[in-house]
Formats: sequence, C-alpha cells, structure tokens
Amino acid sequence: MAAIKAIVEGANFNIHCFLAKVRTDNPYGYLVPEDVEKLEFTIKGAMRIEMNTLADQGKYDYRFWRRLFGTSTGEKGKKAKTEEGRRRAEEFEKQVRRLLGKGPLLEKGKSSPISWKSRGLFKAFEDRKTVGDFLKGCPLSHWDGIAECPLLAPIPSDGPFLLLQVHDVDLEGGATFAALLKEYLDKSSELFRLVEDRSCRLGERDE
Amino acid sequence: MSKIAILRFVWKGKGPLHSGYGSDFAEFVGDIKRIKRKGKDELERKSANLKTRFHRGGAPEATFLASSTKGVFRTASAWLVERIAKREPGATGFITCDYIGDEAWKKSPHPRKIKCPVCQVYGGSGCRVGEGYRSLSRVAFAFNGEDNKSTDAAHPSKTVIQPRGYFFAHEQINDGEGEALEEIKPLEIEALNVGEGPLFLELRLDPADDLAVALICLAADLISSGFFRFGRFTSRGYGAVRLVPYEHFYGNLSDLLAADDVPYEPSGMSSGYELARKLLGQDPLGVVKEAVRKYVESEG
Repeated sequence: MAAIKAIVEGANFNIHCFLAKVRTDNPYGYLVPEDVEKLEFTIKGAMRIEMNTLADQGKYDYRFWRRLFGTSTGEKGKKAKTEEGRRRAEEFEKQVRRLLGKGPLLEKGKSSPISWKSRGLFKAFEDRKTVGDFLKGCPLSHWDGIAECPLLAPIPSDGPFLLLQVHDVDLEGGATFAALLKEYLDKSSELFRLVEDRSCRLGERDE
Repeated sequence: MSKIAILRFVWKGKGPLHSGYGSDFAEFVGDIKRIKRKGKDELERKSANLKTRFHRGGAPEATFLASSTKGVFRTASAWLVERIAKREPGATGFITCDYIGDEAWKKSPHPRKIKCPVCQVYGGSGCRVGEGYRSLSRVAFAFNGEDNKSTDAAHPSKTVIQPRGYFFAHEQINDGEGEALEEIKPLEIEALNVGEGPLFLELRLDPADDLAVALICLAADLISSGFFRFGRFTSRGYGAVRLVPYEHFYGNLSDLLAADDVPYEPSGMSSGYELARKLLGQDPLGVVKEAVRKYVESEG
C-alpha cells in the first residue's frame, strides 16, 4: 500500500495529451529507430536521459521525471559509478522518506523497494496519417459533445511523431508536471519539437 | 425488477500486447533461464507471456485472460470517481478503497452507511461499511469469438505471436561506460496481437443499475483513449486497446429466459459514453456525479 500511496500522492486527476515531432538528427547519439514500434519502446528512456542531463545542467525541475514516468528503485543510482548518479539516488530516497516517513523501504514480500508506476503512454507514429487515425477514434471527445479530438487540427508535417498521454501530477510550488512537460517539449528538448497539446475536459463545462 | 445488461465491445488492439509476469516467477516455471555471461550468472533478456492450456492435454499457449481486464476497468473507474470527488464540494481526500488503502481503512471509524461507488460496482472486501462485510462483484468479463467458450482466455487462435527484440535507450546511447551495442542481446518479448479477427469483450452486469452501466461504459472510453492499458510495458506503446460498442442486451431476466438466444440489439454507437446515454436516457457522467455526491454526503 505504501507504493500506492506514493503513486497517488500529488495526482490532480487531469489528463493531458502532447503531440511532438521526433527529431531525427541523433541528439545525444540516440539513433532514432526506423521501426515505429522500436521507437516507442525506447523513446521513454531517451526522454529520461535528456531530463537527467537537463537537471545536471541546473534545470532542477526536471529531476521530477520520476513522478511521471515511474521508477522501480533508487538502487540503480546507488550502484552508479558517478557521483552524480549517487547524488540522484540520495535525492530519490529523500523524496521517498518525505512521502512515506520513517521505516524500512523494502515492502514485505517484495523483492524490490518502493516503485512508482508510470503514468504516461508513449505512442509513436510514422506520419500524420497514422497519428490522425489514432486520434480520430478517441471516444473522449464525445464526453464534451465534439466530434473529434482537437489535437487533430494542427498536424503540420510528416513524422515521426510522439503522442504522449499523461496523468498529470502537482509539483511543489503550485506547478504541474504537464506545464513542465510543455516547457520541456517546446523549449528545452533536443529530441522533440512540440506540435500541440491539450488537456482533456472530460465533460467539464465552463461555469 | 432490476435489470441485467450484457455489453459486447469489439476489442481492437492499437499496439502489441504482452501478458507477461515478473522474472522471478517466469524463472520458477522455466520460461526464463539463468545463463552464464562473461563469467556472471544472470537471467536471459526475455519477458515471457502467461501461458494456459486451450485444449485439455494440449501444450500451454500464450494467453491473455479476460478476467484480468476487470482490474483495468476498475482502475479507470476509480480514477474517474476520484476525479469527480476532487471537484465535489464537501469531499475531503480520497473516497474509494482503491486510493485509500488497507491501512487507512483499518484506522477509519467506518462512518459511512454505503459502499464506495467503485465497490458498489466491482465488489470489495471491507470498504468503509465495516470489516467482515464482503460485497459481490456484479460484473463478469469474457472474450467471445474463441473456439473454446469454456475459457475466458484469448488464445493464439485469435492472436498473432510476433517475437520482438528491443534495446533500451541507455544502451543505444553509448557513453563509454556501458557495453557496446553489438555485445548486448536485445530484450526478447513475444508480442500478442489480440483481435486480428473479430474478438469481443463481453461484460455482464447483474444487476445493471444506472451507476454500474455508467461507470463501465465510461471506463471503456478511458481505456479506448489509451490512458489505461493492459498487460506489461504499457508506457512503451503496449496494451493500448480500443473498445467499440457492438451489441447489447439491457432488460429483465425474464426477457432473457424467454428468448432462445440472447436478444442482442446493435449498439450503433462509437463510444461508451453514447451507449450509456442511450441505455440510461441521461448523461452517464451525471449518474456518477450523483453517486459520488450521495456517498460524500453519507459521511456520518
């Protein structure tokens, strides 16, 4: 239950979609796989690496990527060969302590310590047609009485594209992870270029 | 007399599916082997699918169980109920068993007289109505369209097994500290493409009160959107499924018994929201909101 507590801590129950173009000029030496399925399998890790890099460069807000993408443990950091890796593991443990209080972090019967499950879907598409086909079938637009997802409108060029769907979380100081992701995709990332983003209204009307 | 409902959705895979389980158990049952590599003892880079027997005496085959879909529907439903509760005046904190957790229940004085909205539909053990009280699930799930109707599993007769090999991003970006890519074996995953032919997920609700119909249909939409997914590797494009209303029965048990076969009606809708609106004659979101309000007000 401690893990569930950590997962739900900070959830604001908003969902947000980001559509971004994947840059293919191999930033960080990351070779963008031609197979779209392989791309969507690896792109999450590439984003993590970039966010860690940005955090190391002083953009500390990006260290919160674990709030969204999940992590099994801080153990990898502890075993890291670099000081930076160990520092991140300590920071991770501090956050766990803050959320869960004192006591052993290992849960009874579990082989690994606390985990946060990922609250994001990384879906890759090879071109605007395939991303359009996926978005057209999303039924959530019916909740708002509209025929199609508004993200469909501004798909400008050929891909590959990344559709990132996230369950948003609140961060300290009143910020949200969705706002941070928007800034990342729009301004900070060398891997992506933001095309459009939308928060699903899920039937909520303006008062 | 209370109504019952049988809702059939076409299951359309929007990506590969993997029903695998943890490496410890996979090693125990022999699906993953321990190997020696560079003098070290390590597990194969492989994720094994769940396997069951389709025919008595047959070999175990890769499987996806319909019964395991209930958890995803419940997760999506609990998320929606909490979202609505968060915006409800008078609600303080989480209201569902799914978000509150066992420890909090034990400390709770059990002040409410009704079960939480999620337990009202999916069942639960305890809830806030008191320990020892176990409500029954009123929802059953099955895949239909398989040759063998005695099982709730989707088997390879309706799935295509596609072995896949993946490298992780940190392996692709060689910073000089890890092994070279050519020295690493890719992670092997047997992807299941369920539903290449027409495959139906059938949900039976008995009794099918308004809250159950609304919550199930709205959860189906949340699943179809991609925000809630099935199986493993769900953040990496796996397990995304679109559920399209196909046909339904919504009536009394006597109507069902009087017919030779289930008198399904074509649903004729492209979303769970529209289907629930048609069946209930009202906004399903309003039905869930009303249930949340009633529950919040029940705090004694």
